[in-house]
Amino acid sequence: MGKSRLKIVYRKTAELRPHPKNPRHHSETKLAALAAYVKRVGWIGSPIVIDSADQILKGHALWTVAGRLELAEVPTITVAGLSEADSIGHLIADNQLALISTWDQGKLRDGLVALKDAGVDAGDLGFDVASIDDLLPVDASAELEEVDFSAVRDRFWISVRGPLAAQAMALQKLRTLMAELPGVSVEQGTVEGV
Amino acid sequence: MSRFSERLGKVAKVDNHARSMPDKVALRRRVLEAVPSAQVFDAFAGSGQMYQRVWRDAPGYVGCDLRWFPDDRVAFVADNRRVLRSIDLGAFGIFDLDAYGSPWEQALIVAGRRMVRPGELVGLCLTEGSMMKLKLGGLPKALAQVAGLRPTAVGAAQSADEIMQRAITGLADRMRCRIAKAWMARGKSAAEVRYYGLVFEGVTPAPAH
Repeated sequence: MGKSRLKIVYRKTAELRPHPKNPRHHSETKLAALAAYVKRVGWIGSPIVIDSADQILKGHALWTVAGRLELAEVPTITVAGLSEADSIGHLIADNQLALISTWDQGKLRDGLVALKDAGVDAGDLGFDVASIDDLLPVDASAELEEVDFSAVRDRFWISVRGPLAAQAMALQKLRTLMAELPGVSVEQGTVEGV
Repeated sequence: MSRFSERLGKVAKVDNHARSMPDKVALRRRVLEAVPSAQVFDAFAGSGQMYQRVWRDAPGYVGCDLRWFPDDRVAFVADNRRVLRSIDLGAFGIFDLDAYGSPWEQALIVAGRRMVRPGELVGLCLTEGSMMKLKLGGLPKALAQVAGLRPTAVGAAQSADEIMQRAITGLADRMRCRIAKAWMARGKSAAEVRYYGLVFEGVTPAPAH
């Protein structure tokens, strides 16, 4: 193991290059979530690790996000003297080793609840809605009612009013018109005027 | 890209640098162009703004509103949820659900009662005004149901796009359809209303009962 101490140096974002043999792809969903996170809390993650040719060994996603956020500089650590095999090994191991770790579900849940209470959206941390839904405790008081779409047999009424002199004609016209509509009946009555 | 947005495909954005009315009209015109032989059921018909601008050009139109507007339109004056559960929805090929709030209860009723034959096209126009409620952490129950989420889904404010995608694909699934076309426009007010024009195509026969 090398004995030189690591030194963080700020480099121009545009001077760094993605490693041509990086096998890991970062989805738009991840990049968007990472950008939102960096925008909110700033750069508190790891420095970008580069080799002596300014090729990125660790931090491709962060570098991409830095470009999108138009950050002129990013913190970097240069690792010199790596063989091609070591570089490729690092590109793979850095991602693969993260995949084989697991969540402490209880602490994760507590963390997400604390974030929710603080008004921080877990969607910004890379969780999709369904994952958050599965992780967080269910509010037992929130009942989900199925929308009822079964047939109903409601009835309607329409009121027709006018002077008594027009009643006979109105009744005749209504009965003629309504005869075309099954189940519709015409009823009549009178109201004495004052 | 989430699997829901993959099914939704590319949602075309209409030119929305003007006020919302032209966007709503544009969406509806595109739906009518895609399903030109359809009779329209306008569930939130109101005074007839969309009828005057678009739907009067459709082969047929029936409106519905809680208020009676005595004009030349054929319209129900009743709760549109009860009307949708009373009539034969097979007579209609376009459903306009231009709600002030959330249209998903009406959408679920349409999905449950409108059988779409394989190859048949059905248009839906949705106005989703729940964005503000989503931002405040709430999720309308009908929206939760159609999107397949619990009503307490957190992260809803920032994931509104994904929730809408889930809801639309959920609706298509319930109607045994694929999403043939989709257009979307955003309202300009702080309430962040979204307008959707959708064309579904039937893909799977309904099961025999």
